[in-house]
Amino acid sequence: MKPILIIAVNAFRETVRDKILYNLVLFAIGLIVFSLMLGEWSVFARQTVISDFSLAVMSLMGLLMSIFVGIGLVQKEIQRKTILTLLAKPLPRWHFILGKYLGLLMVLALNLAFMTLVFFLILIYIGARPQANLLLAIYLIFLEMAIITAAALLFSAFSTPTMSALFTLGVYVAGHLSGDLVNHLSFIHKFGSRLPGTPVITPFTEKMIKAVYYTIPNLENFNIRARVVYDLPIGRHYILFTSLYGLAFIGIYLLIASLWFNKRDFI
Amino acid sequence: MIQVADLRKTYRIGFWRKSVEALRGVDLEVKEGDLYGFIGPNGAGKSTTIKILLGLLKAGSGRATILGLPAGTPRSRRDVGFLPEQPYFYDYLSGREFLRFYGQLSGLKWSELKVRVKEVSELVSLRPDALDRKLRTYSKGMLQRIGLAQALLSRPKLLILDEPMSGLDPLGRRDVRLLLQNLHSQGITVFYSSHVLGDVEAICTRLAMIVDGQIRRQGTVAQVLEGEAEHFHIVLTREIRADAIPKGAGQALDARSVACPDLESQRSLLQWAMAQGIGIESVSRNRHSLEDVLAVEVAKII
Repeated sequence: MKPILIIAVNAFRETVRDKILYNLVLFAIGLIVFSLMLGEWSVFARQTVISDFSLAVMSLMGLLMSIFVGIGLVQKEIQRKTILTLLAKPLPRWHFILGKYLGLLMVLALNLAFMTLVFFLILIYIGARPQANLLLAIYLIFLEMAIITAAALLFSAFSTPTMSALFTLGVYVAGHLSGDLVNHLSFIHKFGSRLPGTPVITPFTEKMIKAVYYTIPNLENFNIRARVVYDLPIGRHYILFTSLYGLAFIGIYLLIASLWFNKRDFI
Repeated sequence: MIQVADLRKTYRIGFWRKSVEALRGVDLEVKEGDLYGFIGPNGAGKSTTIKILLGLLKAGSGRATILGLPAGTPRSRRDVGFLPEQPYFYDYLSGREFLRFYGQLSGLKWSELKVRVKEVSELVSLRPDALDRKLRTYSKGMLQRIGLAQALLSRPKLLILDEPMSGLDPLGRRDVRLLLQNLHSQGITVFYSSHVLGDVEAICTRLAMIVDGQIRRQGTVAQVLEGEAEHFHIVLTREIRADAIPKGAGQALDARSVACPDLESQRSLLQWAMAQGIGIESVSRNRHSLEDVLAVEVAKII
């Protein structure tokens, strides 16, 4: 475990010394502060608007960090050939993948914590009391980003930075749509024959939709922002099951990334 | 220390995955206590062999072991220090942070690290103030030195260096040469690839010459030069094509120089040159150097 932590700490150090991170964080903080004005302009309750907007900003910034920093972490090592001396040390390659991953998670956690602090300070400033449930929503944002980071690492283990970014973005978009697709599919199965004009789903399309659903996590599961902001109930074991669901995907993605990385030649 | 038998590697390059044979049955043996030079032209397979030994590349077929363990396994690298060709390091780290990071990965304890960082930086002549500067401010020579320092941190039994003198000025090269001799005298086995053939000839106890993915010669310097003890070096007044030289009249070393292995071939070449109206600038009797032998071996595959 020790080498993994050493690599993680170095990856953390690398990222916090990177200018791109500060630009993203400053931008995020700016947007969260901007939510104060949105709260003023909106016809809805100030606290609701600020919470909704701030959580959306955190989610978006987490996504950008996961993609830009996550892909860069491994790709930079390969392109600059710093990986040659590192992998020549007496450690298996999966230590490298896991270390890099944990390092980036530390960065994501730190940034989310910082944004949460700003967000809560703004809530306190307007006289609202931050609810504990908000932390659950932020935790699930973090988990979603942890999945996206694992996907970014997986793609960057065998692809170019641009392609990796596109693939990762693809996972994010498909992950938010796959649940809807499956819902549409079951709707068409149930009521399609009774409603004229309903498109016909071929067996191939159905298999494709199911393949996407099972290989890409349903990221809408991690979005409880609306429920938290509007104080709607959350299932008793929802957070636990969603966490296990997320961890399973992270495990699978990192396993594939490690296996792939293990096979790879470093010229 | 290192044993390589019938090692082969084929790269697939380009969109059509065209295959290029980088290693075509390499056999090599580095014994304990060797200061072993690995020479050959660019693209001959030196770096490929080294990277297979360290597990950075997967061998196509064949066998390679380091310190008795299969090459490529993490355990086989436990007592090995490595410096790649033209090393790039984390430029956001200071020299000290960099050495501590690599030392920790090599399994050194924190208390031991402090002492080792000081020792190895002195060994490679890195000033203490340089250790506190970011690596992005280092010159090429300093990067090479700190690269050597990280390879030495864990007190390796075997040091594998890929072109450790590349990019260094003459003084830097001299420093590295002296350092290699110093490490060798301390009992560390050194295996290094180099283009600086004069240095290899001067300091190596044994060497291997690789050309076109195959070991053409190996042994002590005397063994490699055996049968090539003397030759005639003829410089012509104008350039000629290598294939224009009649058979048995020598091998072109470059566009104007020809190496003739004996008196008879020298005579043939002079007669041919006169018949072609080519003047002779000089004729000298030379002992073959590694450079000559390498040129002869390379000429065989052209």
